[in-house]
Amino acid sequence: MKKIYSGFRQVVNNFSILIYLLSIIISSLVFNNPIIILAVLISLLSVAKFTQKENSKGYLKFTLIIFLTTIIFNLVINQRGNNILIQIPLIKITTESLLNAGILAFSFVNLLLAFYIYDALTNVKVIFDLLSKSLRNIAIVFILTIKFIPKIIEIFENTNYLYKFRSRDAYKKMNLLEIVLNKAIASFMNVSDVLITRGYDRRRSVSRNYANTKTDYILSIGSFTAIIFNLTMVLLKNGKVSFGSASVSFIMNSNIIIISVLNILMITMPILIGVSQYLWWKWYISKTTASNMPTVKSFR
Amino acid sequence: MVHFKNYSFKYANSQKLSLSNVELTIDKGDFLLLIGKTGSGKSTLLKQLKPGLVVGDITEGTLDCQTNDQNISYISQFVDNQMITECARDEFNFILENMGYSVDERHMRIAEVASYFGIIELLDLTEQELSGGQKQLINLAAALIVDPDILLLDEPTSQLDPIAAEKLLQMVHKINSELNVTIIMVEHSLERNTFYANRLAIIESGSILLDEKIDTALRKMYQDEFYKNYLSQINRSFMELEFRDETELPLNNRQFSKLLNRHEHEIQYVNNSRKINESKEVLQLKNLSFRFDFESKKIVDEVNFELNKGISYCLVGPNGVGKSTLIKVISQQLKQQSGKIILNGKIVNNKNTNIYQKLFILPQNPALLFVADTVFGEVEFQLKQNNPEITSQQVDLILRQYDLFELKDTSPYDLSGGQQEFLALIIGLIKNPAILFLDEPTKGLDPNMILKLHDLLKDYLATGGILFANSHDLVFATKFNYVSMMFDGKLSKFKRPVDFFKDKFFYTTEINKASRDSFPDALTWNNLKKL
Repeated sequence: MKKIYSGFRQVVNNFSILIYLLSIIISSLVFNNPIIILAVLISLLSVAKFTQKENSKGYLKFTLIIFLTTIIFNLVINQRGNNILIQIPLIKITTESLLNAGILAFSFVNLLLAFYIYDALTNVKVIFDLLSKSLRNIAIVFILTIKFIPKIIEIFENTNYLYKFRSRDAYKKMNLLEIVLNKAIASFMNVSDVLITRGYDRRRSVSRNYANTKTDYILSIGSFTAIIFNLTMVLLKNGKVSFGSASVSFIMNSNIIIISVLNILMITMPILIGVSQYLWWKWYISKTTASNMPTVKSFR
Repeated sequence: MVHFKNYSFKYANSQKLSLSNVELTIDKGDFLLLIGKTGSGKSTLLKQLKPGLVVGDITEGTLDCQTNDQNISYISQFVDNQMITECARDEFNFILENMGYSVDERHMRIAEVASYFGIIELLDLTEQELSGGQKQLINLAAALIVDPDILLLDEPTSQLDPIAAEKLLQMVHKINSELNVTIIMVEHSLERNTFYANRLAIIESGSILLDEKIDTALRKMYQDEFYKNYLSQINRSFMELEFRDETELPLNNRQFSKLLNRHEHEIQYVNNSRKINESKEVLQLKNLSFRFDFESKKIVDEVNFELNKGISYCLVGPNGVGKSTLIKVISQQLKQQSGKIILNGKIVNNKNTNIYQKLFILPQNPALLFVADTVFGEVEFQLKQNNPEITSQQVDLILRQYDLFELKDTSPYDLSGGQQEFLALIIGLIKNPAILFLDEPTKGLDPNMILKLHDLLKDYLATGGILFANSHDLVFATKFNYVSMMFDGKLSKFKRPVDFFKDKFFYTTEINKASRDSFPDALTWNNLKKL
């Protein structure tokens, strides 16, 4: 997987990746047909595995918790439908309520997975560059937030723990908010000083020219076309079900199959590109790599 | 190049002058070492050349600087959180973009600076993957990438282990001698840095007290009871032994070793170590192991030792070997995967919260301990834990006892790094725990404050307390009863400082390196006396 991922990263630039990310976020947001949601889920899971970061376990655990909470919450508040599956006091689970809960839970999971992929494929600087072009003040807030939030969490955890060694009653609560904010301000000032020493106060508009490869065009055009296609389908009321109602059901027709297949292809494009790069390297480049002796001989 | 003329400065939130009638001239290519006690105004003076970093008013005088702000780079003492972006390559690009460099210029600059600093392999590593020394090297490269005329360094080695600190200083020296960049470096101690600087200035209460060439400055400092403690161990020993040889200071180990051999018959070794009495065991670690992830290697690997009443223990070792993690595991901030911690015969676990009463932790960042708005509030809070009826007069008395009365209304967050460290230690001593854990306690402290710290800790030990510290400061480590070294998660056997240091080749004090032929047991300047 690492080799395939490396093959993908080597042939695409950050701009194409941003268009791709926009496209997968839209895909996971706009449809609520269970077939499309499942197709998007499987594709996103494959790409999430493909881009897996070392600290992904916590995020995936969080996703699972959100999934289960959404399912349970929806089964409790929405008990519509006539095909009863299980009935216990106060709760009636029907095929329709289960389907409604599943649609919402899987939609949430899809969105979380899309943002997981976004986190794995972008870095602070790419987003900052994009924002600083026209929204300089937002860019600075973005940078400070990115640096600041993990710092506040760290300060909160350490302060909370170390307080136990100062207080006579280890479980006595302190005014954490005020204390943490006092400490965080020092940290905030430090980040602000770093920005000054890095010359941010003198930053002018930065011109950026991305060198596009053929793969960049494929990824950008593919993603852009998918955005247009998905939005058009939504406007034409394709890929939608009557979510929340008692009449919700699986709808399967040729449009749904086309939307699902196109979204699978679009979402898994990084894997397809990575595989093609790897195969090209294996079958073509490795065969054309010349050894020294015959080459030297030819020149002589 | 820089001229402070009768210059006075006051912070916006203060009534007191932080700099008063400063007279200082710095020429092109100078390497100026600026020292002074904690809170004397060293960093404030340095930051005057980078006005964006200080908010206040110039009340008198002028500052004439023959270069603009863009050509002055600044490096702070903080090693962490100095990178705005995720890796060094992005960081360099970020700085160069801010300065308006074109794509091609940026590419060439990064290539040049990465080759010069030997950091090509580090360009794409994230901040978490870099060691403290590597981070500071990248900070230095980031400061140099814009080709500055003046480089300002604010205690750049205070958070580094001795080996990483030496590497950084050598690089700063290279920049000064090869590129003729003017260097102004604020430091709180004088060990290796005097070899690279050509001038030394002392700042006291916001005014320049001394400004001389290194040799003259070091000799003058020796005449002053307060500043003689700032001298490096080798130079202090040279002055104490009153050698009459014509030698220019600073001395290196080879020169000092030659002098010792030449005058061996005039010198005697003095053993200052105290006898250690058998005492009761309080804490025991049995096969303690910890790792952060399933796949990662053990940061604490099968560690076993005991801590006994009235004894001090020091752990030395390079950055990132797990010294701080060990303290976090013992204090249960991180839970061990295997092994036991036994406190007063009882196993420490979730139900046994005795550790919070019996232990006190002074973390690397002492500000994490603070809970009040003023120094007075901090001391009062801690005293009230022992006696809820404590009065303001009694708090004032304690503040005077520890020389903190002048700072009683100051916010603990406005104190200098050294003052914060000192306040946090006082809080620990007021609690009077069975075991005091100190993580890098000498960080940011000037040599006289370290001596004061040592006296306070001696009193604490005399009452039966146990002291366990992590430190990069090898001279400070010699004051402990037992020393051990940590590497790859394992601890060497705790030994008395003489036995521990004398068989070390690199990881030992400068006096020991220089005197191992003639006086192998000598570790600090006061182990050698003239007959």
